[in-house]
Amino acid sequence: MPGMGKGLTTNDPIVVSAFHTALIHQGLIVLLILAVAGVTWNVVRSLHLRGMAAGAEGRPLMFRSESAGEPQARRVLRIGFGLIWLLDGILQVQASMPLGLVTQGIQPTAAASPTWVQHLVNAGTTIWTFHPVQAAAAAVWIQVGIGLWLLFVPRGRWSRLGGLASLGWGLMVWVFGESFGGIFAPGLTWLFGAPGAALFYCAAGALIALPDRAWATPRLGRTVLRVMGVFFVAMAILQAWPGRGFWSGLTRSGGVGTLAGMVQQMAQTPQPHVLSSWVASFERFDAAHGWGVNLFVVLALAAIGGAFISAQPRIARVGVIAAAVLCLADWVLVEDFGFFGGVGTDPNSMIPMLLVCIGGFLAMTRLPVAASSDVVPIVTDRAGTKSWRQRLTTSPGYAARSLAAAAALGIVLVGAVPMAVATASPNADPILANAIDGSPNALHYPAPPFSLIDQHGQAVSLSGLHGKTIALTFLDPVCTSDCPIIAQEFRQADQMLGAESKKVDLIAIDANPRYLAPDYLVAFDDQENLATIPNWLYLTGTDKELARIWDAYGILVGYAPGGAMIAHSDTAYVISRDGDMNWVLALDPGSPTSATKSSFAVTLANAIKNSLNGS
Amino acid sequence: MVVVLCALVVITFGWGGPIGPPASAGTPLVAPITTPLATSLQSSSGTWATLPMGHLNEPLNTFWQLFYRPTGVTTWSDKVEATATATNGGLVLAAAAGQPFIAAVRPTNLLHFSPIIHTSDGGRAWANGLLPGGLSARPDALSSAPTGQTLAIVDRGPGTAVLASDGSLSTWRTLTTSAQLASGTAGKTCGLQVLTAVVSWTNSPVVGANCTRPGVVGMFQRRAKTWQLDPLTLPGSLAEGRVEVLSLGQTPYGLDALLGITEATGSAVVAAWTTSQGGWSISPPLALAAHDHIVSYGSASGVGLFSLTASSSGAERLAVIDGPGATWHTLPALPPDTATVAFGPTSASVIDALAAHDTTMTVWTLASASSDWLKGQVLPVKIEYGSSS
Repeated sequence: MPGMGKGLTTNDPIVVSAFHTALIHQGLIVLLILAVAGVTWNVVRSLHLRGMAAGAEGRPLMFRSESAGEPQARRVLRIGFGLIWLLDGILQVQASMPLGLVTQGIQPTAAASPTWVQHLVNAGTTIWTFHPVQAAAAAVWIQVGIGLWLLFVPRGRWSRLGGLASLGWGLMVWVFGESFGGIFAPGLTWLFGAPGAALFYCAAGALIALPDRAWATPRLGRTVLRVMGVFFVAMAILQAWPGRGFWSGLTRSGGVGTLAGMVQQMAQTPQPHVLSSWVASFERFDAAHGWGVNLFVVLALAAIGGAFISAQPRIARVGVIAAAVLCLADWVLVEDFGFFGGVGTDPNSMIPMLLVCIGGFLAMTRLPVAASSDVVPIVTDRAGTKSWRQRLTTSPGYAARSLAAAAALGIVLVGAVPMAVATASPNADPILANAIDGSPNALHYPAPPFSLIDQHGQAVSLSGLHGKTIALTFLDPVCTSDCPIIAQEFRQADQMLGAESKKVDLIAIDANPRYLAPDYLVAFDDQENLATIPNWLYLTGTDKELARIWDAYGILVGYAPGGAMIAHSDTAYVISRDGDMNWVLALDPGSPTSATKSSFAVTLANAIKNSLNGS
Repeated sequence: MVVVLCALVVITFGWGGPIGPPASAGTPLVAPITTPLATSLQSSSGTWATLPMGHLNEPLNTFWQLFYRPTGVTTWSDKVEATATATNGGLVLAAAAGQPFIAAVRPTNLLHFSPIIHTSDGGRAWANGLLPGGLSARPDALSSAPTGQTLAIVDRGPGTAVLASDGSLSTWRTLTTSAQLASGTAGKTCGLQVLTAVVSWTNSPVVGANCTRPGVVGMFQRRAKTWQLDPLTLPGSLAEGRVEVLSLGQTPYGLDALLGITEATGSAVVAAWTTSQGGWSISPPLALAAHDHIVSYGSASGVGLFSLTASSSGAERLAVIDGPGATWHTLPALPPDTATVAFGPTSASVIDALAAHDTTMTVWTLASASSDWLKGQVLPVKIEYGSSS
């Protein structure tokens, strides 16, 4: 019935089941990749040991820790962000992700941003909404792959490539997932995670991607700390700016202030009671001492920023410790860990931010031994100018790194390739339509005959249409919700059929007992731009004729009280060229989106194609 | 250096502006008068009224009803089912002597044209028509004349158009558009913004508009194939206000009009009637308080007009003017939730106040010379929430 569709729920069992199935299938491929990598590693290692035994190299190679020689700061960033990416990937497995991430996570964030940001984000998230299963699964494997890449490939070009992967995907997440971290939205504040966690993923990725020589002097560390220092001072100024609601715990009208309000919302996120009670306690504290809390935050941010800008190791150390305390406090009491609630995708910005600060500090104060002794390069190319094949067999470290990176890349591709294939199609996944109204049902009986007139007053009968496959539905020309959507779905299905649409007639029969004249059908066609479709027919007749046809096709039509539109079934049939009923589809669009409309059109087009193919 | 960098960071990361409502700079002191659709109308067979019911803060759960009270009967019935479509966008009514009663459904949601229903027997049998466009959201965007001509203002692109039908309510021709009127001499004199009301007078269309030029009344009449401004001059005290033609109607003697005037310090409503000499008789102004808004207006008994306003606290005031030369008088305080009022054919008739709350319409009656509204009929309306979304 128009307006009564149930629509999609975030945890729709059909979509969730498909998501889990996709994860299991792709997980098996990932296991295969890991097994192949393990076997290859054993082969390479055996070859190498055999070579050693034969004395081919002249001197034995010592296995050593792969991360030996890696600057400490880089190691902290690599392992820290590797673990975070891994956690993010695991969080993407949550059942709400396919249908909930965009509607409950991304769009509410983007809603506060300017229109151009919303347009950009919508353009990006269209891929997700059209292919929710593939997109959600892709996010899992891409993030798990990047995490493993960073964790298990500590050195060399492969490792730096891992940094670039982190930078690239982080940028995608920052723009499309976090709406630029909300930096263009009102109310920007460090406390809520500005400028977005993913921006720190990008920063860390960029640092990891730097060549080894960049880590040889304190310059890189000083630069990182100073940039972070400027950022902290800017955030302090922003936090101190009057009129933004942070200086008061309560508003004049008695409501809670900006910070307390935000914390109040976070406390309502489903989570362990002990955590929500901490957050609620802080909310009450801020409501009572808003001015003092904000003063403390402003001073702390400014002091930390100043310490970082000084780039003096002793002062910066104090700054790092203070930043750690402040970030952790904010992470627990304001950001509420960030990953609860079913659509939490990451632990928010405080931990990544802190890691970048620590990385900067270590890059300034803990230089690699090689750099300080100035005797040997930091990371020697043990293989000299050998080809990569020779290096694989003679350098176990190189072989291990290469294999680990290839495996990680493989895991990334396990998610990315199906997603790319799905994205190549402009049409949405039919699973959305199936989730809303169920799958089409096959029928095998002669279609009830009809003889009516079309929108131009020409007589049309079912028997006269034999030889063409028919997609038939029932539309109210003055319907305000479902019928225009169903008409557009028919239109899209017709486009999807391409050249085969010449073998198909799209037919609607009037489903309003009061508006029977062809004038209304023409007005509807004009409104929906259907007049240009050559195989579109909109049929009408007398109320008695129509009532008989509605009855024959099981279409319920009735007046609704109180100013509601006519109630009628949202159903479509596909009738074979021989006049037999082939398929029946429920077409109640629920709460329509461009994705669900496209999905219904795909389902209808598939049913028509099946009928054309005689199946 | 640090300060410059900080400033750059703040600028780069976007200031985003303050949290809270935007500054009110530039907002006029007095809000323009709005034009509600709730109203009542007398036809040859009885009185019709339209008003919104349901969840009024949710557009798709607000359903406009069509109530009818036959002549000589005291109870109302709901005829909205005859529209056979969703009425969330509102209903606009028209009637003329010897012509069917017409109700047009304003488009809403995904419907972009206006279905029409009409009846000549008090709603026992209905026929249909349609407007090739969305009827404007004005209570006098639709008008029928005793000659059989029907006029309508429809939204077309960024402006509006005046359409005419000479019988069949499915075939319409365009008389003019707001852009055409605005570019003419009369339109420039007015500083025409939007078309607001339409009526047929001696088989010639008269179009009301909203003028930006202070003191100019946007009343356009087609004479000698050109649109000319009617010579309607406001008294000196109102000559600096911006005028909007709220309503245009026919009386047995000519036309009546209700004008909304917005000045820097306040707003007022003025009634006007054509005189036998071809001019206009202007009533004294009915001053509105700063935060008053109009709930309903329309025809009162005979040639009278009524204005139903509400203050920011919700207190409603019903003012009536009986005709040319009369002054506005206020009737006893209205019952709560009154959406519109319906007058009888003579000043001696009772007045019904139609009060709507959620799904219940209550009729309150004011007898002639009485000072109390008496609760009468209670009419429950079955509303299907969610059926339009």
